[in-house]
Amino acid sequence: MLVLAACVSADRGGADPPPPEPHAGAPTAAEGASPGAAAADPDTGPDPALAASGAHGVTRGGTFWVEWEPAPAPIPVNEPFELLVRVYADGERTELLDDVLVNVTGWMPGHGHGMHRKARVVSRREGVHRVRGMLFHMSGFWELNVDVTRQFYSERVTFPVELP
Amino acid sequence: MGWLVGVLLLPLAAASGCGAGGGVGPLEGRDGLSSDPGPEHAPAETADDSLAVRLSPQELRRTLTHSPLPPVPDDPTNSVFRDPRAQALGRALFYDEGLSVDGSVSCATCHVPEESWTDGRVTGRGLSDVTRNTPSLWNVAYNRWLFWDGRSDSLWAQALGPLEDPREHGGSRLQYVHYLAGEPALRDAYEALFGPLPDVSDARRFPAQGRPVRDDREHPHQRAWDGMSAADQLVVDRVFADMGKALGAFVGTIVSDRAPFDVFVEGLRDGDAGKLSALSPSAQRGLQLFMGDGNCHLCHTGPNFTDMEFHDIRVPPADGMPIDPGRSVGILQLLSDPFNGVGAFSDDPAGAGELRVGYLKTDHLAPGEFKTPSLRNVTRTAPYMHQGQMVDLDAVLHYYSTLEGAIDSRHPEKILVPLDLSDRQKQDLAAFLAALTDDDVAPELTPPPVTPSRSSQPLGSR
Repeated sequence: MLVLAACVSADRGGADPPPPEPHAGAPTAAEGASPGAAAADPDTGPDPALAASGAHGVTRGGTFWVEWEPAPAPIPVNEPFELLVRVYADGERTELLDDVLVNVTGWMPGHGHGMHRKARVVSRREGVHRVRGMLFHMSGFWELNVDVTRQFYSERVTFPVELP
Repeated sequence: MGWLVGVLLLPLAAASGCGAGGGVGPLEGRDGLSSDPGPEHAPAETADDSLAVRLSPQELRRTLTHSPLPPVPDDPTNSVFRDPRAQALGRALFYDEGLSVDGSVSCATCHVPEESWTDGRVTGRGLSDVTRNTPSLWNVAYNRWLFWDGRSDSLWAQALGPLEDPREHGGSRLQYVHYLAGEPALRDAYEALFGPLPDVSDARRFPAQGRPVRDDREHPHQRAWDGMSAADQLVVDRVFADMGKALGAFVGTIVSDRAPFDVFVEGLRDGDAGKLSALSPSAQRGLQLFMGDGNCHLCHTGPNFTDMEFHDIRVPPADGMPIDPGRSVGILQLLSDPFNGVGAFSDDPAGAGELRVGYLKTDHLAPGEFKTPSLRNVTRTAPYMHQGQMVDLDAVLHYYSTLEGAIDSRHPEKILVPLDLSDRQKQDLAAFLAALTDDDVAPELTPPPVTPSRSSQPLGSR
């Protein structure tokens, strides 16, 4: 199950933008990924079913800690949903960053395609990014990618989401 | 609830190798197209004397989400969608052959009620041949996109396309507005819904014919259209859009009733052995294959058996026909369509319209993607695929079994692999698909007793 927590887009197929590269000296994705990054319970590892109701994790460079929650929850199959995304500077998620930009994409590595939509942030207030336009049109395994950009620097975290 | 009464619950065991793996969580309500039996009733494997197969928890859950069809969703971009008066006007327009240049073509020419709202032809034929198979109208109100390539996002916008296609009805929006103004019964019905019909009697301001013509600025229709003021063009567009909304209101009522599969699912829920017998053992095996190893449910998902989205299944073009660009062009046409959900004629551009078209991704488009068709009444809608390439369901099942003739593609579905079906499996799947049939046409969907303008002059002679 730890494989899911440190999930990396191995097969992107060209439909979604490639993940941004971490800056020099940043931890590698493996080093930066928390074993419980995308899980609700670090003792039992990530639960894909729970990931559909929200999760938190660290970007591959280890710079940003990201948490998200969908509305409605859990993520419905083939229906629009929104996300609330918060980005923190610390793993305890106490220092909320309000000077970052986020971009969210979805990808089905087993199918070779992603979402048919381009979600975007429609509001950003006090560090809470509201993302609209999400739609996972098929059941199965999705990667929910969150790219965080601060000034000219970006890192990505990938969350595993299993839709029944 | 008691929906598993009579169905023996076995301990959770390894699923039968079907589809995407993953944790089996509680049943979750999804949306208006889902059936939610409630989280307290998460199913285990099923076995019962009434059942020919043992469905895994995943297969059972998937099965339940495919029935019943929920009530038809509203269309906020069409404020008269549920108005019986609009449905009645749309019914009259749908069957009116006067809405064509030579008086020979109505919507029902290609969407024949007795032929499951399609025409049985390889590709459609109005005034002349078109290049795509005629989609059935059963349950189209559940669709997110219309046409094979999704170039419309509502039933009302879709209805306008064939009216102005020279190969179908062959008219122009100015002709339709004049037609409406000249037919008292239609005019009265229109005005009861939308208010007074604008005065279009001034031939200098409102020529007899005219419409925007894509890629042909010198076309007589385009030139006539260019000669009008923007305000008068808006008047004509508004009435034309209203006609589409009436047609969309009627087409939205074309909904199928309970198929044997729905009865079977009721049996799963309430443990009624009689209802479980609605599916033959062969159809039950086909159901298991559909929801399990065959992975058919991934695209043909939900109560209308479609994800409403677009996929490239590498189907070769019909003999002598080019590869159809499909969605890659359709999405651009949709975004440039003045009648789309965010346009000036939408009744909810900032809400439902914006959610439909405001987030579409237009990069990395590739030819060959088409909308997943519904499978309800599928045995009645041959031939199949966007160019009618496959004559019957045997041909379709053979294709999925072998991918024989599949063409190269830039964005193929990676999960599309030859299923290598046995003859018995093909028979089972065919039996299951046949159990999705209810094509009884309600009397209110048939031609109205009196078509107001049937005896009047067609467009072309006015």
